[in-house]
Amino acid sequence: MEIDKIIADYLSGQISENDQAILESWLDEDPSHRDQFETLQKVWNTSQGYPPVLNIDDERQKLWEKLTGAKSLQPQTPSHISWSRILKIAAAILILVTTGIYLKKNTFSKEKGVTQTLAQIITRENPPGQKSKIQLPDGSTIWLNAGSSVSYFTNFNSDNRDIQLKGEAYFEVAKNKLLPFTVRTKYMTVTAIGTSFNIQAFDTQKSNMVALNTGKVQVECFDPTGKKSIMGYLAPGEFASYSSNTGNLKIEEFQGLDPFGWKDGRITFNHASFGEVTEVLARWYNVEINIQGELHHEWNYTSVFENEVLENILESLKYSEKIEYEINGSIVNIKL
Amino acid sequence: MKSIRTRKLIQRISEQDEEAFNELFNYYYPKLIQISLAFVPNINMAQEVVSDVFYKILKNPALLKKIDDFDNYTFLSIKNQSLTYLKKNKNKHLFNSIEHTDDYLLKDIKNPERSIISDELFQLVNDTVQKLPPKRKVIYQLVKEEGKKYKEVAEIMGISVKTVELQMCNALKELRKTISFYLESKDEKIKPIKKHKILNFLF
Repeated sequence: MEIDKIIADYLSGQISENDQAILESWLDEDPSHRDQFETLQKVWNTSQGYPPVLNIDDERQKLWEKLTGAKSLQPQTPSHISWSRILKIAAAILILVTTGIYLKKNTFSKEKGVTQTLAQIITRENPPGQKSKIQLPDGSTIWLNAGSSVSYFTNFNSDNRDIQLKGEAYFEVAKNKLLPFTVRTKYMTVTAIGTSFNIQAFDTQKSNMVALNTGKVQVECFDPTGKKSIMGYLAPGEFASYSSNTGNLKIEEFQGLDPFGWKDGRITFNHASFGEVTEVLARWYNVEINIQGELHHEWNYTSVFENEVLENILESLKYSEKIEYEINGSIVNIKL
Repeated sequence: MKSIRTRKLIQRISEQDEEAFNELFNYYYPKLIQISLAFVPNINMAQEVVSDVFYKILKNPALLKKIDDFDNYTFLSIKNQSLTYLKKNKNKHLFNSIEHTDDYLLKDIKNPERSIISDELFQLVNDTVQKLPPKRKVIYQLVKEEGKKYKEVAEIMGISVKTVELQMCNALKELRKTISFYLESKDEKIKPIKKHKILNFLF
């Protein structure tokens, strides 16, 4: 964060001498730093302007008439109207076209590979309670969580690196700048070049989430109507969560959370609600959890378990809330 | 816009010169709308605020002769008027449609100066800027487009200089992320194209 402030100071002509030295040494640190800096300079020196506003002519004429009491001498010049109309239509066409391309790409139908060899879909699925590790033909690794599945074509690594994910998985992506690695979930498309990240997108969830460990990724989500897309970029230590209810994409740091722990057998609860706790436990241990009674106060749970059996976790829960539980094979009954 | 030009235009406007009014209005309107959107939740309110400020300023040209910096004065007025507007309309249901301003603001911004960077990069960077939270976007634009120093921005926005610095830092961070992603994805593709061009030339 420090260096970004110094760059801002430099570009806006407010940099101190001390900071100038810090900037120089940062530039010398890595050739990519210099590239980024020079591109930033070009961007800074290119005026981005302000988005043109529709109805500016109407507003302007209204104001003129209010100011002078005189009717505006300038009728709405046709060129002005057509320009905004043309741009609006062009934008609409662009949306249709990109939506079309997205839909086409996303149907994941077997017809995709028809022009080349007949590419088939490979699916790896984990039932609840089972985790697995998958090696992909390009050297990438997927840790697949319980109750999750990944699908890809047989021509993976020859002309695409597209993966479809339902559930949760941690990806370690092998570097290949010519073939971007793309993971599609219900609401998100995550693109990476050489990185490691975790995506959570179970079918039952209304939000999809991606957390970045190393490298960088681009995240694109479509709003509920499917017409507009929202894009964001993640830096290591950040996670993006997209809510299909609001159509918002939020990016924040995941300091207290532990998005990658599950693949090492670690469950982390951080101010988790009772519902969240039972949902995670049900999926992790492949049990059905029945809850009797209700909590009559605000409750949240923070704790970490490493390779624990379910019973121990339930015992721990008892310390923070008066509950009674009973485990009958794969059914757990909890009384609040 | 240079102060001399602004003064000239305002002088002409007070003499009912509609052309001068159009020039001033067209130049400032999109900027002022952006600034207002840092304070009010939707475009309709922003339009009312901006029209009101314009009206107040232009109705009173004598007042302007005392002002050194038209820009700062106007930006500050926009902020004050926006806050006043919010207070007045506290009871009314405020439709928070910041996300929907896209319906009113066209994304395509034509600008001849942008030929020094590729169309693709321009679009990516522009998207990043447009998607910054409203207050951060305005602060970034005031510094970059309007050339304001942090202190001036702090006065206009009614916040501390430290906050301005923090916001600029965050805005630059987002830009740098976009740029480094763009550069990474472009790297390999440049070399093969160069070779191809040479071959074409030989044949």
